[in-house]
Amino acid sequence: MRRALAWLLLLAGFVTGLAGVAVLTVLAPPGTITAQTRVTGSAVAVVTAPGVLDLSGPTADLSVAGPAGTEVFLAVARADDVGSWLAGAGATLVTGVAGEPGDARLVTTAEGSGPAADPRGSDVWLTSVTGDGTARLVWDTTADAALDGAGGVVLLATTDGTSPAPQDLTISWQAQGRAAEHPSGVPLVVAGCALALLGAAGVLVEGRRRHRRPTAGPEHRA
Amino acid sequence: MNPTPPPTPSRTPSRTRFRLAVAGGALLVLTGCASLPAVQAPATGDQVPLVVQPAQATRVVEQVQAVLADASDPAAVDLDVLAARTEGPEFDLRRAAATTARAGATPPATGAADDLDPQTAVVPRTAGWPRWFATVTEDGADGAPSLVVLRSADAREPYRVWASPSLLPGASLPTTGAPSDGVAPVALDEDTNLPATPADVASRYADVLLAGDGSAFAAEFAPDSYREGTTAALAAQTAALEASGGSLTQEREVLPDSVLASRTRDGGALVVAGYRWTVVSRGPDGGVPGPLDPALAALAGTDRALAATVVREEVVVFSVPPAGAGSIGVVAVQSGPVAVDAGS
Repeated sequence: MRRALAWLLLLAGFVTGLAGVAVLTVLAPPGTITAQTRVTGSAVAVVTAPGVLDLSGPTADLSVAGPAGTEVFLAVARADDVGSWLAGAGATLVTGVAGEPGDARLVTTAEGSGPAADPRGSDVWLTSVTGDGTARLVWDTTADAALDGAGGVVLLATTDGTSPAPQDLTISWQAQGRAAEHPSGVPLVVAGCALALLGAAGVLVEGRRRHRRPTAGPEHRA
Repeated sequence: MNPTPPPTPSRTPSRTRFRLAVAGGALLVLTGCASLPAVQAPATGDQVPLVVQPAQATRVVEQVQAVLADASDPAAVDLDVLAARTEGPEFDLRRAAATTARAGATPPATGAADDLDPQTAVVPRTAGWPRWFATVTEDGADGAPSLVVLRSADAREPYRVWASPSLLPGASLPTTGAPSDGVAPVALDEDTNLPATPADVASRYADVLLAGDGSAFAAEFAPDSYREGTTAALAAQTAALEASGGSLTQEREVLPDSVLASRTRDGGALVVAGYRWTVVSRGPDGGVPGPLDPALAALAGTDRALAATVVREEVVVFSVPPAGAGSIGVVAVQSGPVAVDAGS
């Protein structure tokens, strides 16, 4: 009975450990979180809520796409400044992400109405880029906390500030923390190792005990 | 009476335990799956943000430099392009210089910055609009650095150069906070630890320029070369006109929304103020129209006049010490004619 229990522990340890290794490797979530959305309607801008750019990772990879032949404008700016620039203009607000790390989507809501202005005439942008149909920039989020006093840092995508905004927005972050790995992976490996060690010890002890039994024969005979 | 049957060995409890163990294991793995992080709203900071981040300021200055470099030849300047990055006295003075140069005359020196490369900046911490910040330039061809004041009316408007007064000989700007630290703005009616509010500093200096040493506020301001030169030239012109039976009158008003102020490191203030100075000179009744200065003639559109109204715009930078720590100093000035109306 003890021997069987020891082998069971050893087996359970191997299975648990292997499960942990699998969860940390082949079953690990993707290294990046990519979320996107397609906006419709007449809103002139797409804006992220404060904190969205800082969801994960030291950088946020931002890209927008609109109809070919339309110049799109993509910028990062302080939230308060973007609010002043919009001044109630129609915008699609990205409030967060939903889904799984490997299949995430941006959650949006509409707010405001009416046109804004040509963004190229303003100096509120911390960085900006324009492109024909598409635009992309990578924002280093490591210093964003310093701008908390200005409401944080947000993304703004638009065309000319009066026409409909680019339809497609994609944001990618480097996965970190719970999004980067299954939290059960390491505990499974540790538990598996512990069980396997216990089982191995049990098998060894039982083996020695069985090996010693024949030497006790003469005493029994006497 | 039937005896109680002995408990029959059953596999149910062990099966249940096994199933519970499997379910528990699966639950452990499932609950340990990776999940998307939640959006964390930034903590509300107590510190008022800088009006522009250092990288923003650098980009703005570079764009301004590009526009002003294209406008270096007054005779060829495109005023529409100039208006995209200049406003207020800076635009008015450059437009007058363009008019003068196109008429073939030499625009008068105004004390404007001739080199826009910044060596430091004065960046207020202010929320909302309008906003301003200033850069202190390297020494230009005139051997003096300038304070380039850039203003933005609202979030949709770019920063434009509003003025770029150069330092007077021997003068130096008071020490302010580092650009990344920012400076605290001083309200127009604030006199905490100051000898006068910024608004009062501006209006009192206007009175000193008009009345000279006879002004009730003359003692509050340290002597400066601009004041000396202006009052001396005006006195000579007045004397000449009065000797011939003519007259000269003048008035000076603080330009609307032109007073800006920020704290200096010693607890005083750096104050910038703009003025419109109007001088009306008349020759004697029945006199013969006299020749106008070529630069003024270009603005007037005529070479000779018996009467002339010359409008100048001035931007003055004051170093205001803490209360009881000395007199107010004028450290930089930009001044020049922007319009001339000649009459007969």
